[in-house]
Order: sequence, then structure tokens, then C-alpha cells
Amino acid sequence: MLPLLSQQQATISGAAAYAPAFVLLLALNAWVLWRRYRSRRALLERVADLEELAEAGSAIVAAQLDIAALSDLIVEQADRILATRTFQLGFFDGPYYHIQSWMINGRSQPSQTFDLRDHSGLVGWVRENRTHLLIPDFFQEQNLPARPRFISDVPPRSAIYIPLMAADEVVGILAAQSSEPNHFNETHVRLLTILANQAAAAITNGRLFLQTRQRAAQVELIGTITHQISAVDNLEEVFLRVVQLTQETFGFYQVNIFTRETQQSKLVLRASSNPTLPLDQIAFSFDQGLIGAAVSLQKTLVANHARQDARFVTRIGVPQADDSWASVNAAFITPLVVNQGVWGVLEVLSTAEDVFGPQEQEVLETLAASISIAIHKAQQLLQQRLQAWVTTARLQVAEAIARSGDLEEMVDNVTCLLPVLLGIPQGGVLIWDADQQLYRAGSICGADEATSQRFAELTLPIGRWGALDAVHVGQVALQTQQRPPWLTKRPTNHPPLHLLPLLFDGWARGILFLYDPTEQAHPQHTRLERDYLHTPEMRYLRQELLQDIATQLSLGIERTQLRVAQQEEAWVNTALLQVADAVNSLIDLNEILGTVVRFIPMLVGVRSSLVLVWDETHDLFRPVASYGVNEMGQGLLHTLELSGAEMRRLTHDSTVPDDTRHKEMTQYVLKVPHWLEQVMGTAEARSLPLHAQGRFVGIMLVGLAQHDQQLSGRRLSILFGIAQQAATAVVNNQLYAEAADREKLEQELNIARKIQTSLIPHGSPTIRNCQVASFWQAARQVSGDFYDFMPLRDEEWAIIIADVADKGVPAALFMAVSRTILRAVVNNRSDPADALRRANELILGDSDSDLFVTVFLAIWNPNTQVLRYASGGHNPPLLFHATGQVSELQTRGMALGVLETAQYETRRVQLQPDDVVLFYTDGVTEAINEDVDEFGMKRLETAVHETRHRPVAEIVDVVTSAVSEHAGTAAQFDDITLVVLKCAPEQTWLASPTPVGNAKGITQHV
Amino acid sequence: MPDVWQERYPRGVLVGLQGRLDHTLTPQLEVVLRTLLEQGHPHLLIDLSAVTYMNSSGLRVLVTTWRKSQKAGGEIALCGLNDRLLHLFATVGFDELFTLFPTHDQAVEEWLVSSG
Repeated sequence: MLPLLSQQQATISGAAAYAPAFVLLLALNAWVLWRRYRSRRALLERVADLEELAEAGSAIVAAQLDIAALSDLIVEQADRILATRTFQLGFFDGPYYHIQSWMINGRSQPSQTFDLRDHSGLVGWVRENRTHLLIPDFFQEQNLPARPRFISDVPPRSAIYIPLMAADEVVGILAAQSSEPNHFNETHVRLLTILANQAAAAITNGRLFLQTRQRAAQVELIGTITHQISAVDNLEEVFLRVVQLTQETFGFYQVNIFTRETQQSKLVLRASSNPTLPLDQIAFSFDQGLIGAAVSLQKTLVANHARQDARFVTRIGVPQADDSWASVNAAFITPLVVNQGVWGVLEVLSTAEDVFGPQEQEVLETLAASISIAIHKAQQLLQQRLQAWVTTARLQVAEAIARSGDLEEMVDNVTCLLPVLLGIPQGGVLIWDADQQLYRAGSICGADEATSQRFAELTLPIGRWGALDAVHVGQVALQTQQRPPWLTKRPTNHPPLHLLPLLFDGWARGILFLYDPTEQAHPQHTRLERDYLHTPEMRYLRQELLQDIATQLSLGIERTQLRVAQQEEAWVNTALLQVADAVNSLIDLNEILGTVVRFIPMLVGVRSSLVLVWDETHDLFRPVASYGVNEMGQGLLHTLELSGAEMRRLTHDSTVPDDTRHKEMTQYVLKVPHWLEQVMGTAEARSLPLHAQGRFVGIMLVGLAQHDQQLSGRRLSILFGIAQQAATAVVNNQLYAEAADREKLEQELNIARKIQTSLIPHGSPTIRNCQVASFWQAARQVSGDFYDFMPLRDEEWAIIIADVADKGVPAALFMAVSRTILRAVVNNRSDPADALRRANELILGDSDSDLFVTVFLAIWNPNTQVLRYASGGHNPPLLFHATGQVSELQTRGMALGVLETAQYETRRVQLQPDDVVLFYTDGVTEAINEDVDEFGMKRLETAVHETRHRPVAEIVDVVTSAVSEHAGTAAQFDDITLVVLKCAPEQTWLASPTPVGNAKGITQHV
Repeated sequence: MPDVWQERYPRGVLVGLQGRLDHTLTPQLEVVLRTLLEQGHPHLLIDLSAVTYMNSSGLRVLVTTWRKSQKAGGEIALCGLNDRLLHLFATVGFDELFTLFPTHDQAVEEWLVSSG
């Protein structure tokens, strides 16, 4: 027992020991009565107490499960029992003591919390010893078990402390105080204890109820938060609501959300229940503090004694004035995991230690999961929105291209969209000029006036800007930090300049250049969008859109260029048709070329043009037509003749006829001498060889309009087209002239043939005692072969067969001459050899010709049937004896017309009846068939041999048909001449009708 | 080998030809011979070993060449004539115009190399 209690008992026993002896009885009696009265009173009081207690108990039990209301009720009931105006009811909360209901002298006091760690006081003693404490008088009491925690202005004299016991734990204290000493006794203790026990039970129930209700509220909160965040697509707002609701519902000290900054690899504060904290400034790196640990471990971290955790660090970025951080004693951090990556953390802070039990962890983790889902949803939404943005952007580009009328407008329209769609600060398009082989200005955006003007006049040949060349040739996009001099204004944060080739059909139609704005966030972008700009997906989307714009643009450029090219081509075709029309409709070459040269400056845009036609025979170039040449120049051209050598010098040996240089579609740079510069009005000229139908006919010269004028692509093809037309005109003219010449020649040949034919005997003469027949066929119009029958004196007949070497008109002429000479000499000479010798002399003297003629001359004597003959290099005639033998009429002698001293020999042969002599030219034996097999002597002999008994005409027929049968369709190159003489059969011999003297004359000659 | 070829020797030029000496080969030979004569080579040997046939146009070219050569103080020899050509030359009487050698080797030695 406590010493204090025994003292109280002593005091009570002392109070009952007084009464006089004599009135002992009376007194006893009275005492008995008093006692009976007292007993009765006590009984009555006790009954009343019990009634009160029962009432209080039932009131407490019946009370609401609200701790605050319950506390007030307990205090009120206690007051009725103790009749004291000073009460308190407090509860322990860890190291704290919280006075829930407090009344001093009947006046309610505000609740108050005391930290018991440094000074636990009397309540601490009661909690620790789990028993009541009765202090009759503070003034008398020297041995208080503890120092009071609270000293008021009006300290009490007596007090009573009753522990509220729930299970084995002291959850609170019910205390009463009084300004009078000894105000409380054991009865009070007993009564209050009963009350306290009832109160403890009620309060435990209330607490359990509160916890259940809180749990329900928490679950409801999660539901509410989940519901709310799913309805909000702005993450900033979601975060703010989460931290506020969580803080309000759970009553935590502070709730924060941190998110990850991918760019700087740190976590920054994005939302806080404490509105005074500066967002975005409080940050942790990934390896820093509890938050960093939670991120790297990817799991929830609970620090119920945060101050003792080694990972606990002082918060960075908190203003000095803010002391909220100092009171944090427990922390709960759970990562927000989105798409398997830590996106941020949810941080919950408490001033109390040991507040985060399994229950809190479960609830907060569920909440974190909801936030993660919200973030994921927001991301998806953003992605959808961006995708929609890309689609819209594409459509806008497509629409801009579709509504453009020409290339310039289209490029302008698309360039205008670049800043709008992609936030590009400066960009534009360069267009490839295939004719000039350089890049021209297309359109520019985001440039100042001066830059725009400079850009508009820009031409960039290959070799001027390395990066451009690389993109043009390599056909892949690249970025460069080098700024071209024509772009002055440059975005502030120096992004690289991107060059994208606009490719179509394997070559660049243009270049899209722009400063990449990826680093620049639009001020209207949300935080999430800004973050998203840096994600690979976003970069990909942007690249995709940019690529799409490039593709659409190149297609658009190709389409408009094609349209322009088609129009131009149509125009060029029309122009070339006009040229062709002029060439076809005009007859005079000078007029045609005059028209052609007039077209050239108009169609190709050169200064002057000049056509020189080549005279092949004299190797001279003569100007035929010119345009754009001044009067003086025309005067010069009038008398101009350029030799082949001079032209070769002018054209670097390039366009002058030469088998290896007959190339069409070529042009050459001309060396222009001063005089030609005067004529053409320019020192820059090109020459184009004029070729048509395999002939080189001349040169077309064009004087360029300016020094560096390029003749390429379309212009050159027009020029080639015109050159072709001009060449065709010249060739046609030549062919026409040649055809006219040929026709003339043909006519002349026909006349020659008529003359020649008139020189050949018509029909066969009737010669006494022999039959003759002949055949004559020229390989061409005129022949070099001829034969003749000449009546001589005394009925003698000369038979001549001759073959002039070579063919054609010269041979025919030579033949005519030879025939005339032979006729003359044979008429005067009876000896064949003598006649040939004389004829040879005359032929050699008469002509300077290279030609010669082989002649066989035979003279038939009808009386003796003797044939006298001589040969001038001719094939010996064949003698088919009636007996069947065959021999040649051999004799020596050179062809006529070669050697003045040539000697001839006369021989004679006596023919027998039915003997046949065949005179022929080599065209007969050398007639070839398709296998180049000659008709030959054998076939000739056979043909004649078999028909030698038949009339001469038939023999001729048989031979000629055998020859033509042999030759078939093979072309014959030689004239064919046959003469057949057949000695008459004996019975038909006719006596000479002429005087004998004549016959003698012949004999004399022999 | 071309159809007409030349070989230069101390005393003159050998002109060889191959094929049929008619309208197919004659123009070519005519140009070669004319050119040689114009260039001052009147002393010529024409190798006909590979000539299978000759017609009047071939003969004409040879006669023309002979005439020009004569005027320029030169002479023309022929070699390697086959029987047919020999017969032709005999018929036309041109065996009197040209010096004929039976073989190429003998002709070159005697006509173009030896100075006798």
C-alpha cells in the first residue's frame, strides 16, 4: 500500500473518537440513533450514489460513439458524483497526452496536448503504475510521486486521478481537483473508478468505431479520388486534388507528389498539400534521400522513425522561413509506376512517429496505383491528341498543296504551315533547277525582310554549300551547325539546321531546311506535353510529320513541275512542228534554212544562229542562212567560205566530218575568232553538227545570249530537234538534186542506149553460102560489147565481135568510136591483121582514154567458104566441125587501144558444109549462177554441139536459154554477145551472082 | 589481212591482193595503185597469187597503171598468175605488156631487191 492511503485511513479513524462518558448511554443511544440515522443516510446516500452511478453508466453506455461528446458526458457525470467544478479527461497518444475535455471551476477549457517525453508528470505516474492517486491536500503533501505537469494560476488543494483502463492499457486519465483540502475520499475513488471503467469501455468502443469509420472514409476517399482523377484529364489538377483530399481525409501532416524530370534525371515537386511550398524547385536526384531510394528500389519505403533513418535528408529548396519540415517524424514514400517505369513518387509525411501501419500502407499504395493509372490514361490521351494533331497537320499540308496553282504558291503555302504546325522558328524550301543544275529559292518563313529579299535572289550551284551538296548527292537528311551566309537570323538557343531532301523517283527535287525546334516548348503546352516533347515517341511523331511534309512536298513539286514540263513540251512540240512544217512546205533550201534559223533564238533564247552547209567536193563550208546577225556581219557572210581545215580549227576538230565523229545529239564549244564574234554578236558560241540519214551536211552555230548561258536539258533538246530538221532539209535537198541528176543521167543513158542499139545490126543479113544469127544483151543500160556484119566487095562479109573493157557510158562511147574506126578500116583493107593494126593506131591516136577493146575480125568468102581472121586480144571463137570435133580459131594479137606497136596476125580456115563458128564475148562463159559457178566453156560447147545441125537462130536460142537457165536469178555483171555463123550445106550452095572478076579480087586479097 | 596490201622494198613497192579482181576488188586496187603512182612509185610488183579471177575491169586497171608507170619511167611486173589468168593474159595479149614472174619470192628478189 501507498503511505498516502494509510495516512488517509488514520485521519478517518481519528474523526470518530469523541463522546462524554456520562451521557455515554444517552450518547450511545443517540449514537445508535445517529448511527442508525447515519446508516440510514449512508444507505440512502449510497443508494443515491448507486442510482447516480447507474444513471451515469447508462448515460455513458447510451452515449454516442463520438469521443469528444463522450468525454464531455463523462466529465458531466463525474461532476454530479463529486460535486467539483474542476475536471479533466485526457487520452494518451504515444508520447503525448491530449486533454480532450477540460473544465476549470465549471468553465470549459480548450483541448491541449502535452509532450510527456521530457516530463511525464502525475498523469505519467498513473499511466505507468496503472492505479489511482488520491491527493487530500497538495499543501500538506510532501511526498508527491511526481511533479505536476501543469501548474495553473489557481493551484488545487486536493485532487484525484483515476486511470481509464482498457484491457491492460491505460488509455487515459479521469481527474478531479478541488480548491479545498480533503475534498475527496475513498468513496469518491470507488465511485469514480466505477465510472472510469465504464468510461474506458465506452471510449474503447468509440475508438474502435472511429477507426472503422476512418477506414470506411479512407476506402471512400480512394473511391472518390479514383473517380475524380479519372474525370480530370489535366494531370496538374489531378495531382493537386490527390494531395489535398489525402491530407484532409487522413489527417496527415503533408502529402506531396514528385515526378521525374527525364532531361535532368531528378525528381521535382509537382503538387503539395502545403500551398506555400514552391513547386518545381524542391528536387531530389535519384540517389538522394528517401525519395531517391524509393525510386531506385522501385518499392514503397516506410520510415516510421524518419529522423533515425540514415537516408533521411534535409529537404532542398524549402524556403528558410518554412519550418514545416522540422516537425516531420515519419515518412511514407511509394513510387508511381507507369508502363513499368517509375514516373514519380507519392510522399506522405507525419509529425507523429509510428503512424504508418500495414493498413496505411495498403491504402496509400492503392491510392498510388490509382494515380499511376491516371497518369497512364493522361499519357494515352495526350498521345491520341498528338496523333490527331499529326493527322490534322498532314491534312493541312495536303490541302495547302492541293489548292496551290503553281509551284511558287505551293511552296509558299507549305512553308507558311511550318511555324504553325511544328513551331519551327525559321525554315524554307530550295528548288532544284535541273536545266541549270543549281538550287533556287523556293520560299522562306520566319525570316526578316532583308533575309527574305536576299533569299529570293538566291541561287546555289553544286559546290557552293557542302551540306547542301551532301544532301543532294547522298539523298539523306542531315543536320549542320554551320549557318549559310544568307540566313542571318538564328533562334536563340542555337538549334542545328536540318536539311531534308525532297526526293522523287530517285533524285532530289528540292531541299527543306529548318531549325529544329524540338528543344523549344510552346508556352501553351501543358506540363505533361512539355515533358512529352522530349520522349522518343514524340520525337518520332515529329520526325514522321516532318518526313511526311517532305514527301508530300516532293510529290507536289514533281506534279507541278511535270505539269509545267508538259505545257512546255507541248509548246516545244508545237514550235518544232512549225519548224517541221516550214521544212516540209518550203521547197527552196535557202528559204527553209532561213525559216529554221529564225526559230532558234525564239525557241532557245540564244542571240544568233548560223547554218553553214558543207560542200563535200571542195571541202568548204558556206553560210546559207543566218539570224541575229548585223548588217556588217551579213556582208561578211556573203562572201564567206571556210575550208574544212579552218572549220576544224574553230571547232577543235570536233564537228568536221570524220567517220568517228558522226555523232548526233552533240554540241561543241566553239573557239570564236574576232571576225566571227563580230558576226554573231557574242564570243560564246556552240556548234552542232548537222547529220541526217547518215550524212554529215554542215554545221549549225548558235551565239549565246550571255557569257555563262547554259544550254542544257530542254533548250538543248529543242536545239537538237532544230538541227535535225535543218540537216534533214539539207539532205533532202541534196537527195532531190541527186535524184534530178540521176533522172537526167537516166535520160541521157536512154538516149545513149538508143544510139548504141541503132549501131548494132538489126536482124541477120543474108550472106551467101552461110547463115548468121546473133544475140546482144547489155548488163546495164549501155553496153561495152558490140558486133557487126559488114558487106565488103565481092560478096565478102566482115564479121566483127568486140568487147570494150569496163561498162557504162565511157565504155559505150568507146564502143561507138571503135565501131566507127573498125568500119572505116575494114572497108579499105582486105587483110584482117592489117585492119586491126590500123584500127589500133587510130584508136590510140583518137582518145586519151584508159579503155581498150578486144576485137575479133573475120572475113567470110562465100565462094571458097574460107574464113580469114585476126584477133585483137579477143576470146578465140569456137569452130564446131560438122564431124563433131571442136576447135578454136586461135591467133595472137593484143587488145586494141593499148600499145601502138602491137602486132596482129591473119589466119585462115576452110569451112566445110554445116560447120558452125561461134563468136562470143566473155559475158557468155563467165555468166555466174547464185553459187558463183560460171557457165564455162564446157556448157557452151555442149549446148552448141548438141544443136549444131539445127538452124543458126535455134543454136543462138539454145545457147542463150542455157545461159539464162544457168544464171537463174543471179545478177549478171557482164554484157553478153553471141554471133553464130553456119556454113551452108553443100546442096544449097549458090554460085556467085557477081562477076568472076570480083571473086578473083577476093582471092587476090587473100 | 586486208584485200589489198602494200610492202615497200628498196626498188619499189609490192602490192598484194586477194580475191576476185572484178567489180568487188577493182575500185580498191585502182585507188591504191593510183595513189602509189601519184606518190612517185612507178616501179611496182603486183602479186596476183591470191587472185582467183580477173575480168576486163581488172585488166583495165592494170593497163591504166601500166600506162602511167610507162610515162613516169617505171615498169610493172606481175607474179603468181594462175593458169586461168595466164590464159587470159595470153588471150588479150597483155603478157607482152608486163614482166611476169611465176612466184612471189622470185619476183621480189629480182624486181624489187636486186639492183640489176
